[in-house]
Amino acid sequence: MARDPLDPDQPTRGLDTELARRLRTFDAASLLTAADHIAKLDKRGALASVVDFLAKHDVGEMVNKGLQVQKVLDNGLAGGASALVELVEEHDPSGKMAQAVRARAWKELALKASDVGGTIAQEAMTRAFNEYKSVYDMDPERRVRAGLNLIGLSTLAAGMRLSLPEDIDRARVASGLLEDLNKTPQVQRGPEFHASRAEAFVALRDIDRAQAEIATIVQTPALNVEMLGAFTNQLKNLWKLAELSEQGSGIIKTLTAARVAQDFTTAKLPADVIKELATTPSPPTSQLEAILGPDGPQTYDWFKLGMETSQSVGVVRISGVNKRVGTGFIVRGGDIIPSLGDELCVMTNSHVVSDVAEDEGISADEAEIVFDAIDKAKPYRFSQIERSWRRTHLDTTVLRFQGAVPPASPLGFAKNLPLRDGKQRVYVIGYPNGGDLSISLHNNILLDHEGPSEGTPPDKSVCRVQYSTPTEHGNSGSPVCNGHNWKVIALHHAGDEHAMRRLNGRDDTWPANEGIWIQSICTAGRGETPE
Amino acid sequence: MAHVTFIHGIGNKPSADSLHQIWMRNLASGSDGIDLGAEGITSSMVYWADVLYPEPDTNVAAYESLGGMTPKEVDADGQTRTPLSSTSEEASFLSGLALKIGGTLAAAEAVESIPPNRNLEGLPYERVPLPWPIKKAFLETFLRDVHHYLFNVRFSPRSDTTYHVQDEIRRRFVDALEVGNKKPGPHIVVSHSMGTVVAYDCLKRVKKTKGVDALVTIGSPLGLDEIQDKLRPEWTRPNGFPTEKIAGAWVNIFDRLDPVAGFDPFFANDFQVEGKARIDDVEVSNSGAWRHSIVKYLRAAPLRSKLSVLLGV
Repeated sequence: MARDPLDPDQPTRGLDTELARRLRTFDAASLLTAADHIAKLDKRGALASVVDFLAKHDVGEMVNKGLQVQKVLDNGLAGGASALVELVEEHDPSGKMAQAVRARAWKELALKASDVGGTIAQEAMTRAFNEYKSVYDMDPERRVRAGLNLIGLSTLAAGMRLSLPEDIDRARVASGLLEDLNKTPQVQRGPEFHASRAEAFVALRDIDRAQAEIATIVQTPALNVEMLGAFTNQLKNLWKLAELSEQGSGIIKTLTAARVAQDFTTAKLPADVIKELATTPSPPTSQLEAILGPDGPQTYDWFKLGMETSQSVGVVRISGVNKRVGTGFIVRGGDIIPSLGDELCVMTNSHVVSDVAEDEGISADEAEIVFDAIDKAKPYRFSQIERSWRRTHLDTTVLRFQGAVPPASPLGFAKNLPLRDGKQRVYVIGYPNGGDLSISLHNNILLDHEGPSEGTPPDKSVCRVQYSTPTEHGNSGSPVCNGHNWKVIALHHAGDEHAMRRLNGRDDTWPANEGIWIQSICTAGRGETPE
Repeated sequence: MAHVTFIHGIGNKPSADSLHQIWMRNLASGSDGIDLGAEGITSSMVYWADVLYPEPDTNVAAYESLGGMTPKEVDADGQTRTPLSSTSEEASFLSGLALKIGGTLAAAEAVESIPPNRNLEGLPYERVPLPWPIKKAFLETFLRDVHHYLFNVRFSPRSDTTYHVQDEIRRRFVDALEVGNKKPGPHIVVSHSMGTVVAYDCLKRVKKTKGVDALVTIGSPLGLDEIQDKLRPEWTRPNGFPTEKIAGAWVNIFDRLDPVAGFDPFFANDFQVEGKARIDDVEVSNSGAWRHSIVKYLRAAPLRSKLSVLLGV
């Protein structure tokens, strides 16, 4: 399955400033919301034009100059995005849907600008408030959502020391919204209903009752993971729930774990979020059980182990110019080459780092690795390539650190490969696209492998593993982990979303990613001949 | 790679696939869990609930519940009744089992009621006893299912289907072992409750049963005289271990407060090899008032530890 082109966390081009990067992200997120509406209208063709707009226009730069915000979100859109607004308006003569889209877009901008403040934040806050106020006053169907956002915005504005067109009586509005919600017939009380109640309780600072509503949402069978993500973002960014109390912080952590544990295609977590989740204490057992159910503590333990594993995955780049060329991860050298004992080393592909020109990797001299989820500002250099196998063979390089080693644990290797029954999850942890600061967890299904006991590899010294969902460039050298305990089963090295040659000597092709079985590498490292 | 053949215990169950998934999911849960799929280990479930029940239970959640407050949560079926005995042998079998299991149920409750620390004052001890109807439902279900198997009762779970219960369940188990036997690597049987009786019966008494590398019995009633008597003449105390069919270990997992296993949980003395003990009896401590649950057993660290060794993971 191809990656969702509208992933809001996907960068479209490199930008110089943090603000610009965030604003770019904002724009994609806003349009994604609009895209949801379009999807409901069954006008999916318009999505491509929105993507075109994002690709062709440097929205962050436009916003940075303070000129284009209004035009972008009102009526000055060029290309596909303007068509999108027109389409919304065409199917929404009253303008209510377009207004909801605009309100959401301004809110997103206000959230993204909340760290930097200034005139952009003030303008966005005022515009968002006015849009939601208008919906709140005029549109009974959307009154609850608009009212909740009004309270959230007023909370956010107070924290940012921004002014609003008018004061909101938090308790009165929230109580009124709860009364409205309580009129909802039982059969219509789905996850959205409980999400609204949860927000209303947060507005009233009744976190216990909010948590109870959140538990109902999370434990809903077949929960929509996108809805869970949006809800988590709302609690985290608008309501600043994690900053309210330990309990609030626990809710956000637990919801993040729930999202990753759900069936998803790609989850992207910023490196600083991974660092926080890996290094801070888990929420109390009672809270995990309350929100996630009886297995909540185990689910969170699994999730946290994944975050800790991610910390040991770094981005390989060309030293001095900071150009990202691939991914690498920390291993115990002796697990591959016994003479290295407990020395920490880095494993990556030989087409990422190699001294052999034909492998097309950079040399060890010019390579460095940064572990974003430990310290984004600390690059580590290498003293030498300990072992390297050609790109056409195992496509593996083992590097030794020069001087200090990072404060991270080596990843463990799985002894066995999972079953080829089409049900086994594997996770690719890496730095996609070579330029993004986020670490992605790709939830893939193991498709096939050449390992024991049924594999028939053409070359017994190289057992390969194939899994679904081609990853983006930059994941070369990523660890492929099993879905049970995050042990490494393979070293990712290639992907083809159209025609990857199938394994075990087959001549046909299919869309797949491919990695080298970690035990093939270990066998070669020990100088043994595979059975 | 290894292969595991599971066989379930008494009472109606969800569909075969759902039940198989429940077992695997609970065995895999937590950081010390064994995820068979992730380890490349194949498995199958010998499903026989349909031999005694008209249709699979749709209340899948009850089988993963750690509670014990409804019949389904204790592997019981509220509609099942103790069979009427037509011979003195059957009467003796049923009354003997009822006495022992009923006694263990009562003992378990008495033990549960003892505070963990009697010197602790001022802290109320919260005890949740099993309601009598739940215990009765379990007892009746257990007696009916075990009786029908060991006496090979002719039974119609549905209007259009009739089985000789023992013949049919034996056939399914023997077939499953034949399939598992063709897989590469060690073949382990993991059985629970009455499934342990089926496994032992086939391995000891059905000649065409393929051999396995190891047997794991969980919450088993095989220690009860009434059941051992029904496994004669193949079973004898000094030569009860099916050496001809089990190449390696027999690990017996029990909780002393499990009503099925608790009356006589130690097998090493009952299933010997040439008069010598060989079975590894392993005690676990499940939580709550209901200790027979397979879900709880599969999460017990000692069970996982023993099974990991057998599987080589």
